[in-house]
Amino acid sequence: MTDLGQRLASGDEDAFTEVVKQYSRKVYALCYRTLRDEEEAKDMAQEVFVRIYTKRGSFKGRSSLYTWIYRIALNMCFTHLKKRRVGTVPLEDVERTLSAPEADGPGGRAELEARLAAAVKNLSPRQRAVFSMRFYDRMTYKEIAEASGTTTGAAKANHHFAVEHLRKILGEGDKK
Amino acid sequence: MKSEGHFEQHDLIDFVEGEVTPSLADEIKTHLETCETCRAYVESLWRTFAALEGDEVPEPSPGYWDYFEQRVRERAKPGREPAPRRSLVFSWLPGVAAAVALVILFWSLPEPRLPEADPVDLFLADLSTGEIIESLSGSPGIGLMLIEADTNDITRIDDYLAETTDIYDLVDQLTEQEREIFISNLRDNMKEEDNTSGITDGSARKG
Repeated sequence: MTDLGQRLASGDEDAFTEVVKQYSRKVYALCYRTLRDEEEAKDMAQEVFVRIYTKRGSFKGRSSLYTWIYRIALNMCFTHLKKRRVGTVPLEDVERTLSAPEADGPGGRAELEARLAAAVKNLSPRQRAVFSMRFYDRMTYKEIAEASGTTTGAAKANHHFAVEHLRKILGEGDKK
Repeated sequence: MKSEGHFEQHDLIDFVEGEVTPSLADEIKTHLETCETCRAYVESLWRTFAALEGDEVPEPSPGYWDYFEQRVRERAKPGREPAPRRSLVFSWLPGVAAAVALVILFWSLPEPRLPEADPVDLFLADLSTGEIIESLSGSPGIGLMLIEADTNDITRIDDYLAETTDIYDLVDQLTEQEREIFISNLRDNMKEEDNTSGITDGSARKG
């Protein structure tokens, strides 16, 4: 167990402050990339740290503190999504978004953002989360597997599925 | 690994992510010089990744972070936490030994149904065999499973998850094949139970 994890588990209040400093923005980003809603992500990040605080005594160091925190965040995000029964955007909605004209014209910032949002939302929450951990957090598949409670093989398969899906939507334009 | 003269997509994804061995990277580079199909695929991956680099997380207002920890601590004060949902049932969870995977069933499975006289919402079953375990107390297990009849969504936790979460915080992990095998086993056992004494253990179930 890391020193910080050990201190956190023992109830050290300063350790919790340190954990908030180190991980709050990362957790918020993970929540946002999984939920795709800023307000929900802000609320969720806060609730994740409430959970970390109240459950800190149960951290046994079987996984790293980092993946333990991510696991809590992911479980809470998935549960939240399950409750609101919103997971993916239907493909036809993605196609509609992609074909809709944007205010700043084709190739503009707004168009790119709309394409990105539509493409990412079409992934399942788990694929979004795995892709986020891999692509933005540069986590190893082992770490992703620990955080998402799955196997390294499943983590890799989810990531590759997400990449291929995103490539089909985002990677087909501007061919040389 | 090549298939029909082309590299597999996953190899090319790993290549673009820098996850292949130096020798495979060299092999792929050489191949890309002559294979238009694989080159086009790799280029589309680069375009995709470049686009995704622009997918920024919106920055909350500065005040959000200024008082973040303070709000968390306030929320975490005793009595401010949301009431635990069905947590009583799982209060024994952290102490569970690693031996048998358990299943918790919420609502009845579509077919066969649980006895009407006893609308069971919750019971435990052995994950590997589908054998129903009637009592929660003292049941050994490395994890718990949850299944929802309306969706057949199955949720699994490992013993290490049990240390941090309650059952509602879990997500489905089974492959389709695992799910089919499990549901099949579980249904068989439920039929057996129905034909004999039925599934009854009120103490183990949600009220």
